[in-house]
Order: sequence, then C-alpha cells, then structure tokens
Amino acid sequence: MGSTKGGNIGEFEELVLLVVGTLNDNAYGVSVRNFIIEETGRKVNISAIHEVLKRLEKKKFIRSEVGGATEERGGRRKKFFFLTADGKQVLDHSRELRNGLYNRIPQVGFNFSSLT
Amino acid sequence: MKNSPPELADRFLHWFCRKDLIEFIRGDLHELYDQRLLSDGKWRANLAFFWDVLRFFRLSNIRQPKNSTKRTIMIGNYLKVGFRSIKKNWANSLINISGLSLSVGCAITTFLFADFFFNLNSIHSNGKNIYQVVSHINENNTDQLYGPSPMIIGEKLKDDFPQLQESARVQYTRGNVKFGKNVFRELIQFTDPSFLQMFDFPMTSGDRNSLGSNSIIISSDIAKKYFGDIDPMGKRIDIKFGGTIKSFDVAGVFGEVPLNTSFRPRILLHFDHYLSLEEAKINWIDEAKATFVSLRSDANREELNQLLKEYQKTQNEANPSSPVTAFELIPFMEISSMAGILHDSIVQGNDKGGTISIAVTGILLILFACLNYVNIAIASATTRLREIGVRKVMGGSRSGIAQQFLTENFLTCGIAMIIGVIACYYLLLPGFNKLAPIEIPFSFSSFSLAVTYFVGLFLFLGLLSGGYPAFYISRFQTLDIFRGEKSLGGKSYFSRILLTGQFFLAFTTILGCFIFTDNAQYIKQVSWGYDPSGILSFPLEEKGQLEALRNEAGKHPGVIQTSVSNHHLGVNNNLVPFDYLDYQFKVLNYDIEPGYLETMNMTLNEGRFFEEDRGDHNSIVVNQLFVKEMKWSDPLGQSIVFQGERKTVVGVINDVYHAFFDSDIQRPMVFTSNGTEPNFLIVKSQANATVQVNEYLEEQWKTIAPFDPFVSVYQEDLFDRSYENVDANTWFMITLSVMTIFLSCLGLYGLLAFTLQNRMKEFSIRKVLGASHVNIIRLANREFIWILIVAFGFGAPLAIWVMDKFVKTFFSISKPFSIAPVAIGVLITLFTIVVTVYAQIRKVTRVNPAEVLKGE
Repeated sequence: MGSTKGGNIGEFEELVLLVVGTLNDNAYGVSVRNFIIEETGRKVNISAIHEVLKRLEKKKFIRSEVGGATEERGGRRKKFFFLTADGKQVLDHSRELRNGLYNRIPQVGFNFSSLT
Repeated sequence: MKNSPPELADRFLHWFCRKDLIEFIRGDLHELYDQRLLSDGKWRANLAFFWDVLRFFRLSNIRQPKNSTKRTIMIGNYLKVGFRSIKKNWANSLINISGLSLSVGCAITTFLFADFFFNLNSIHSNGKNIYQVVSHINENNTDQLYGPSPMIIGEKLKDDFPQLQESARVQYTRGNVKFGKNVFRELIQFTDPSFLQMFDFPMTSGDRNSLGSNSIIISSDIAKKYFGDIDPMGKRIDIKFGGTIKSFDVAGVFGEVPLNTSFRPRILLHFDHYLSLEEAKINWIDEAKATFVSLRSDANREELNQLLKEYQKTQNEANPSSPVTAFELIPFMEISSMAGILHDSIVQGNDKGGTISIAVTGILLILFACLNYVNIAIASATTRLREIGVRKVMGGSRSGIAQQFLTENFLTCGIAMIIGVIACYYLLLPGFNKLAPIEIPFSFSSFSLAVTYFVGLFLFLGLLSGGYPAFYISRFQTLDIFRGEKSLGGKSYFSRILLTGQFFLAFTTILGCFIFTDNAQYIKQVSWGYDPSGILSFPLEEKGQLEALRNEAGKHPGVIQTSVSNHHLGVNNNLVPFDYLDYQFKVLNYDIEPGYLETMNMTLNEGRFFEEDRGDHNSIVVNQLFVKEMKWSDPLGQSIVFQGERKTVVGVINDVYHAFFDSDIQRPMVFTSNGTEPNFLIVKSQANATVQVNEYLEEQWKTIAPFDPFVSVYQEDLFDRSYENVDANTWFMITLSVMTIFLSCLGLYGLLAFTLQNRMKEFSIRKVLGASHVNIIRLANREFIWILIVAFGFGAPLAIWVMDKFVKTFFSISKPFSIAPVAIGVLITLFTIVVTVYAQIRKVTRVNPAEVLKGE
C-alpha cells in the first residue's frame, strides 16, 4: 500500500530502516530489536520487527540474504537485511524534508501570534 | 543440559507458521529465548516465549490452506455431482432426506418445547429473587408439598426478616362480573398491591400502583370481552360475590402477556376484599392460596430457614388439626416445573422430567436418522467406486474426495433441514400444540440461540452423518478399486448393534403404544359407579334463585327428580380432614338433601339412603372405601364423631368416581344431611330430554335472575377434558411409535442395501447354479432375522413392564394385561419390516446374473 505513495514510510518503519542501515552487515530480527530497545528504550515485540521488515522488503527498501547456519540458534539460519539504493534514497529524502522544514522554523522563536 | 523453550508453544508455532518464514522466526525466537534465559531466568523466558509466539500468530504469518483456489473451483463441481447423484439415486435420496427431515423436524419441535419450558415465566425480571412459601404436609406418612400457606406468614416474614423486600398473597373466588348487559361468571384474583411490584406483567394503560379499595385491574382479553372497543379506563364494573355486590373502577389494563407465561391474572382486586368477603382472618389458620416473597439476592438463607422452623412450631400450636411439617421457600422459576409435585399450585407448568425426556427423544431421533444415513451412504458409495477411482487417478487427493462426499452430504442435510423446518412449522408444532394443553409458539427465547441452534444442528447433522462415509470412502486405494477388489467393509458389527438397538426401541414404543391405547380405550368404558346421563347441576348461591329454578324445573315434563346439596359430586368436591380416635385421613364430604343420592343414581351396598321423614340429621351415608378405611366388618349402626357431631351410619353406597381416573381417585366419602345452606341444584331428566330441560331452564332463568349468568353443568361432560387429554397422549404415543418404526425400517433398508450390494456376485453365482428365490431370500435375511429376534426378545418384556408401571401411574385403574395389543403391535411391526425387506430383495431376485457377472 505504502509503495504507491511515492516512498512515504511511517515513523516506525523509518526507524527500522535506519537501524538496518546502521547495523550494516549484521541486521536481522533479533539484532534490530535489541538495537532499537537499547538506543530508544522503546518496548518492541519481535513480531512487530518481523512485520516491518517484511513490509520494507516488499517495498524494496531493503533486501534480504540468508546467512549461514550458526550454533547459537540450534543450527537455524539467519535472514540478514541490507539497505537498498531505494531505501537509502527514502532515508535521504525524509532527512532532507525534515531538515528543510526544521530550518524554516522562524529563528525568532515560537511566535504563535505570527502563525495565525 | 541446555534449556529449551516450552515445547507446546514451539509446536503451535510450527503448526500455524508459513513454511518460508518459520526458520527465521523460530531462529529469532530461540535466540531471544536464550538471551532471556540468561538475563531473566527460565520462568520469565518461558512466559515471554509464549507471548512472542502468540504475537506472531497473525494473518501474514499463518500458513494458507493448500490449493485453496482449486478447492473453491471444485466445490461447484462437487455440488453439481451431488445434485446429479441425488437425482440418479432418487429412491435412496428420498429415503435419506425424508428420514433426516423427519428427525430434524422432531428435533426442532422438541427443542422449541424444551426452550419454551425452560424459559417459562421469564418475563419477570426479578423472577429469580421471587419465592413461594409452600407447606410440607404429612399425608399417610408421605411428605406432600402444598402451595397454600397461612395468611399471616408473608407479613410475619417481612417483619422478622429485613432482607425480604416484598410479600404478596394471592387468593381466588368466583364472582358474577357485570358491565352493562354483559354478565359472566369469572375467576377473580385477590392480591396485595406489592404483587405488581414483584411481577412484571406489562400494562397498556393505568398505573401498576393503583390497586386500591375501589379499583380493579383487568387483562386485555377481559377488557375486550366486557367493553369491546370502548376504553375501559375509569369505567365502573359490578361484581356479585354470593349475596354482596361491590362496584369497582377500572384503574389499569394489562397488556399482552407472552405465551410462555404460565401464570397470568385476569381480574385483579385488592386482597382486603377477600378478607371481608370470606371473613378470613390474618392468622395461622386461614390460608392464602399462595404467598410470594421477594428476597434480596444476598439474603442469608440460614437465618431464614431458622425463622421458618419457628413458624412451623407456631403454626402447629395455632392449628393442631392440620399441622404443617415444614415451610419452605421455593424459587418462583422452579414452580412451573413442579407440576404434579406441588399440589394446589397456582402456577401452571410441566414437570421437569417430562421436558427433559421430550428433549432426549428429539436427540435420539436425530442420532438414529444420522446413523441410518451413514449405512445408506456407504452402501450407495459402492455404485460410485469407479467415479472415485477416476477422481483419484486424475489427481484428486484424499482430502478432496472426502470433501466431495462431505459437500454432497451437507447438501442432503441442507435440503433435509429446510424440509424439517417446514414440517415443524406446518405439521409437527401445530399437531403438538393441538395435543398439548399449552400453546408453544414457533419462536426461540433469543435470536442468538436460534442462530446457534440451527448452525449447530446443521454442522452436527452434516458431520455426524457424513464424516464417517467421507473418511471411509476416501481411503480406498485406486488400484484396488479398478482391480475390482474393493468390497465394502466386512461385517460391520457396529451397525448391526445399532440396528438391534433401533428395533429394540421400535418394538418397545409400538408395543407400549398399543398397550397404552388399549388402556385408554378401556378407561373410556369404565363405569363411574353411577349413571351420569341426564343429570344437570346448577351452582346457585342464593336461596331464592335456587328455589325458583327448582320450582321451574319441577314443571317440565322431562324432569324426573330434583335435589339440592352443599357441594356436589364431581363438580365441587369438598375434601376435609377426618380425625376420630386413631383414624386420621381426608374424606370427601357432601351435605345433601334426602333424595340427592337417588337423584344421582347411586346404588346402595347395604342399609338405606336418607329418608325425608326420618329426621336424618344425625345419620350419615358413607361409601365402601370409608368402611374399608375404618376396618368395619359391620358398618351399619356404627357411630363416629364427624365435624364435632356424633353420627350414626345408616347406609353404605357403592364407590363412585368423583374425579377422573388419572388422579388419586376414590376417596372415602361421608354424606351428611345437616341441612347446610345448599349451593347446588341437581336436576335429573330423561336421557333424551336433557338438552330441552337445560334450554327451558335457561329461558326461565332470564326472568328469575336477569343480572346473573346462567351456569349449568352436564354431569356426563364432567370428564370430557380428561378424555381429551388421554386421547392426546394416545396420539403422542402413536406418533412416536410410527417414527421409531419408520426410522428403524430405514436403518434396515440401508443395512440390507449394503449387504446385498456386497453379495450381489455371490447371489448371482448361486442363481446361475440353480438357487431358488426362496433360498436367496433366506440367505440374505438370515442375520437380520437374528437382529429382529434379539430386539423383540428384549424389547417386548421391557415394553410390557414399563407400560404396566406407566399406565398405573397415569390411570389409577388399569386393564389386566392382555395379549391382543401386543399381538397387533408385533404384526404391524413385522408387516413394515417385510415390506422394507421386500423392496430390497426384489433387486436380487430380479437381477439378471449375467449383468452382474459380465464384468469378471
């Protein structure tokens, strides 16, 4: 649904996307979850992370690769996620938008009377 | 050892999760689990694992059912094939559908019935906090429950027990109600104003608090009867009780009361009127017909029981001649299911056992219909083995085949449900209502219940009848089918046992039906002990009217004899306690004019009747039962104290029936001739002139008492309603036995079809080798004959034993056992069985062996 809206993404999606970018080569379900919890202090359930990752992948902002089997997960493989060019662009775009708008906040201060 | 996450959650995950996602989800979950194990400990880690698995249980992770699109496409095909096979095997389908729809119809009817009775009187929102105070009375050393209680007990409870909210007494008398030219004799209810606070009878006009000394509240049908289209509010009604006339203004009209209300006031007056009219006192001796109390839901029952115990002592001291053994509060909602247990109850209803047994009957009928269907469905699948084989070869999976049969089956069930509902609506329920004394509407107590019931019934029916065949048929191996090696099942002991059970029931009900009918016919011919034909009686409270009407009666040539009495046999029985020396029992007492016994055609056993000129004030005439109860060998001249006076027995009459044969008939009777104010005129006329005499007297009545209704009773019609009741029960039994016979014959038909289908080749070979038809019929039926013999061997004695008990509880007199009804029942059953068997066997005897064997 979101993919048709010119790459607009939600706040939590953006956060996950950023984290995937940050974690670089080591972004998979648990690591993304742990990172978000540590960095933001938000309570996130792993299923929510999976959901968002699925959505982002569908929108082609990230791509996934299946990693090798590791000891710690009972031999189960990890699904690693990487930022795609589209994803990077979305992040850039939203950052630009944000910065642009932020810069246009009048320096005088929050003069509410002038806004109305 | 390494800790692993809870297996249950893990397996659940495995069950629902999409195959392409499970590895990563599981991996993440396990990794998290190990993390938590270190940081939070095992217990919390387990809990978190459960929670996470639950959180993953969302649509996007759930495995889609396999090839769902193929499935939906195929359903159209299944339905088409289903319709075709119904059309092709129309005989089988007809039998299946009619059997199923019949039982569905019965199931719905019985469910409506049970729903109706379990929700009886549910309009009263406070109903579960309302109780009736009832009395336990020791009668002949058995504990009996009586509805009436002392007048004072309600008020007393209200004073002594603060958790009691309201109390209301109820009493009835009859009175002549008059508005304009409309005069009728009505049953009038007296009650305390709080009655309308406790019970939620809807009111269309007026105020439910308006029951005062001059006001009257009437039901909508009474309003219609007296006022027609006029608004009754504020109108003045005159009511004549005995000699006193009182006027009341209509202060309220009740609205329509739902049909499932078994207790509804029609004419309501303030209780004080009853006290003044009947000169009753609020004490421990005079009784109210019913006392209702409402308790707070948190009332302390222990304390209440203690109080009731004290009341029992007080009552015993105040009224030693008829002591109560205990008072009890019975929930109002239960009273309607205590018919027959609670005597003298003002709330009608049914007994719980009856309701439950009817519901069980409905379930049994459904079960039998389903099991028959299973047999027939498996048998008819033999003709479709090739189709199944082809489907399997073309890639139909096992679950696909099972689905096909289930779909077909649900189709049949759906048709049966529709027919069943129609049958219930147009046939079974109206029939049932005609038989039962109460009207049950085609409605459920709530919409959600109706939906649940129909959906539940449909699924139950479809899965129960179709589940096994679908499972069984889909298991066949394709190769076996085409090699022709697939014969259906071996000997199915299960279905044989079932069939035996069905025939057992069929024999039991049909024999029971005939024994019952036989007894019911017998009852109709039993002599009442006197000849009621030609006897008319008139309840008259005013002496002047009575004399005048008697005078007129004497003028009519058709009248043989007239007499008067206080209380009248069969119409107004007067049951009083008898207490003399060691004898304590209840007797029926009628105070009569000499000549009454002759007018009533009673017959003397010994002694004499009362005689006009003998001055029989101190004489009594008793019946044989009284003599038996007193253990007199020579009753004449015996002297007893009866109602405070010494009396001498001058005559003994043969026993007569004062009530119908279904209650505790035949009580000891004492006829006195004290000259108490009479309240009945009895007129004996020539049998062919009774109607003319009645019409003549009605005509005369208009001049005697234009403001009182004319009421007359034909003695002959006294038990008509009871006879109708017996007829209704007979019809019920007949319907039930027809259904069980029908269903068990369906079962036989199905099983026979199954067997014959399997042994067709065998029979064909036998025919080729020269076996005669008789031979083959015998071979085919050998095992069924055993089934029938076993069923009959168990069913017949049981039926005879049960019916003997049943008839005895139902009628107090029963016919000695005779073989005729049993023989007729057996013959009818056998005839139906032979017809059923013949319909199937014809296939075997007619088949051309070449047709069957050419495939080999």
